[in-house]
Amino acid sequence: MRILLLASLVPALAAALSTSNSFHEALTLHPLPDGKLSVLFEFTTYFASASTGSSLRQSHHYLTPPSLLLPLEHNNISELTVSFVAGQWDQRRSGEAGPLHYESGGGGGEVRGWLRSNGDKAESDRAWTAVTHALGGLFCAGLGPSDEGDIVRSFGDIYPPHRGSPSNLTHYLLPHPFLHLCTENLTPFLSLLPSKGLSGLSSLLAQPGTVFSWGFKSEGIEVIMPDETSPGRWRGWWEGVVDLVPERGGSRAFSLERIFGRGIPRPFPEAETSVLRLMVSEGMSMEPEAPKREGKWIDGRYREVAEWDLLEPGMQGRDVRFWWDGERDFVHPRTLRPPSISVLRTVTAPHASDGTFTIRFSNAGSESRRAVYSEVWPWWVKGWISEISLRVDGSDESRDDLLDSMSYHPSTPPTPSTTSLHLFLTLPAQSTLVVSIPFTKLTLKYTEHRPDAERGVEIPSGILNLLDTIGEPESVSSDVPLGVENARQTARRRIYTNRLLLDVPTPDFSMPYNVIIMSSTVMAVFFGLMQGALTRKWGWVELPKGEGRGKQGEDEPKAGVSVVEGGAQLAGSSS
Amino acid sequence: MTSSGLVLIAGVVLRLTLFATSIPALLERRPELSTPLTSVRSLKEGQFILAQGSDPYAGGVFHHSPLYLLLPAVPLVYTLADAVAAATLCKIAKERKALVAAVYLFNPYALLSCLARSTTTIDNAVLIAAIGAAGPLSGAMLAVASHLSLYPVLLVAPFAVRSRWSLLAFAVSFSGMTALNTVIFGHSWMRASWGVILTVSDLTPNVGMWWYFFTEMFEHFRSFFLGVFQLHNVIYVVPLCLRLEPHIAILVLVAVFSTWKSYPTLGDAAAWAGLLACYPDVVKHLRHPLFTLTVHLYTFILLPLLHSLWLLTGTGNANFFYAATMVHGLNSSLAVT
Repeated sequence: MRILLLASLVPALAAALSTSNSFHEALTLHPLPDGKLSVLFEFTTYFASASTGSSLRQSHHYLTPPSLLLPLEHNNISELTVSFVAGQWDQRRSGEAGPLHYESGGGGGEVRGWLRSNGDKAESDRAWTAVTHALGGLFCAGLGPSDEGDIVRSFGDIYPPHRGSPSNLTHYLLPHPFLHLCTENLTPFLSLLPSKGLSGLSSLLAQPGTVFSWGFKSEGIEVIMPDETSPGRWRGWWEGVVDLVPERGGSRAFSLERIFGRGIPRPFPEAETSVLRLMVSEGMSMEPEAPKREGKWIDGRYREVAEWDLLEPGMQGRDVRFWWDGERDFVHPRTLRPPSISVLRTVTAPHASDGTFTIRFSNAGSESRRAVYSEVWPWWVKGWISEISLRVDGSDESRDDLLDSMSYHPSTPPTPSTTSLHLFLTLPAQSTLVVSIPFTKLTLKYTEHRPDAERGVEIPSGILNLLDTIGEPESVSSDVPLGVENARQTARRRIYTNRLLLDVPTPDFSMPYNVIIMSSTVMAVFFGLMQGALTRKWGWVELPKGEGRGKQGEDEPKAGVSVVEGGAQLAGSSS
Repeated sequence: MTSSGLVLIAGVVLRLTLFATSIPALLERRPELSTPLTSVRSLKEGQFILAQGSDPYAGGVFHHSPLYLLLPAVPLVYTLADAVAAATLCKIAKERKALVAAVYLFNPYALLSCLARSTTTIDNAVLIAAIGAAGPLSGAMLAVASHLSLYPVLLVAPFAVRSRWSLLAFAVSFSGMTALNTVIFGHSWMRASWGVILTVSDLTPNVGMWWYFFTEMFEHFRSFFLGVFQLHNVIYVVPLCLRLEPHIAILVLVAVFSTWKSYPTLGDAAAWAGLLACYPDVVKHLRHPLFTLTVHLYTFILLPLLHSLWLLTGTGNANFFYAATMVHGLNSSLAVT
């Protein structure tokens, strides 16, 4: 059956294959105002179809890894993103709302994607679980759901599909806030790349000792499967933040050799393009000078980007150096320009059993913005939706008018499930909106705690989805001065908060036997007393006159109170 | 009558005065006074979700009976509920009516759970009204009480012994209400309200002995012990009805399930303490009246203290609160028998 299907596809795709398979790589350096440097590797492959390639063209020209694409194709995946993040992106210090790669997810790991659905929900769920398990194997990480209930289905509007209409696609999101990007995840990532970390830019990345010493790290892939009309695309990214300032202070000057321990690597022969980009910051010089410098709208700011073509003959082995003119000792700026929108989530009033999420949305821009803020909680976080309050920083006045509407999908405790909450907000200009959401932590059974229960449990990042962005225009009139800002001219639609570690009230794990025994004892005591009271008969006992007095003395310890002097007494006797 | 009227007025005035202070806000979230099934916070949440146009029983955050969705959670309603309960108790009592009313209205458990706006207060009022009413009306009231907190359903047998008609009235109104709720909300409310009472799926700490037991329970014994704990409430119904007069059987059953229900609060103890006061001859025959009273005082102090040690400051652990609930449970058991 499958062979038949493939055979019918061959003529159409054979033509496409020759033209549409291509590989592009880029390394972007982005100096941040706090003396750090964001380094982003991007590897993009366009491809026609995975199965045709794997069965017919097992040659080294083939650029797409079948191990990645086959499970996706078999399970009807249309689009899929896997993202791992370690460390925290500091929005205030970096002056940017998030890492340079916009598809980077929130803290920890996450898998999300669109599945072509035929209306059968159980079948789609099965396919999604299968694909997450397959990718988990690929990335050496538990990406599959630990329970069916962990899957979030209400985020389709937050991650709209690149292709196709949402009506015949199903969106799935599986957050794994406790996952941590580590060395084991890098090797599989490199092996997915056609250059395998041996040549081209990937060979700079294939140095775990170097890249894992950086602060913030983000790794991920985004796959868009091909359809009848357009080829597929898969892109892998790796981003890290390097501290440029030496430990004892000094200049920020850096070079490729200083960061990676080597110069421009041997080019990967199959790469169609291979570029080094620098987002030029003020007063920056470079050697050799970039052959191409142009202005570009990137993340709401018009910036100058310098570009080197690494495929040019003579580039191999060279170093590229960067420095700030006249800078001897880097002085950390006293004030940092904040990103136009930033989000900070904290837990206040953190009792062991209760707490309040306080989310601060700062809008530094001069116009008010519309956005959706979304949260995903595990089942044991019970939010009090009726107590959500909004105010603008600096005043105690309630501003419920800034909350346009909300959509709430509660979990079903105590089965593993998730609560998702979407708040449609208006972020007023030049002010900070503070939203507080009180919550209670439900008690977990002792078997449901993680092995390191005292440490707490991470909950996924909150996501602010901006509704009024207009993208980054490609062609720009030349009279725009550098550094101009327009907060809405960005392709970054989602801003993530940090993940949170919540303390969970724990029972005493050594107590099950004691509790069972003691509670059962109390119950048995109660039952015994009741049974005694009910089975004993209370009544009047006639005793012969004369004997009454004499017997009473002996009876007294075990039986009742004498009520009537003489003949009769109230006595209890077992029946 | 006038003296009991005075007591009623004093109790109402005291409640309304205290409602005007900041005390109720402190009490609202006390786990001793309200469980997730009776707390005013959950109730407001459910009413809010309903007002938003969603089904409050979708998901598993709202456990109140659907009847409560109609209840305005204002202080006056709770005060009136207590007044109705006290007035009914006066009717049940044959002598010393003022004392009976005072025992209920100035019982700290009743007073505090009223101030905490725990729906236990309403449950108690309906239950006491059912016990005080006669004939079919009592059956209908019992149906409401059972709807609200399920356990009063155990009183059907003694009620039926008291009056055949009440059994019929109970059956009709209970099934009527169930049908009506099902028409409005579908089946979800049953799992969310009664289901939680029966399966103890919400393990938020309370004064009962269930929550820690089932937190610590081995997974494969859970359903067995659930059966044991629930049946333990049921087994007393028949012997008590056989051995005791209906009104005493009702009294003892109320005591049994106020101690052994899956989500008890201190307010539940108030209902049976109030009923007890109506029958002075029973009070005379209590085994350890002084001892149980003083231990009640002791746990009354211990419970909030150890709870805050574990869950608020995080210095103690779960066993602290468990120990306090054990003492409370054991003591309530002693008081009953």
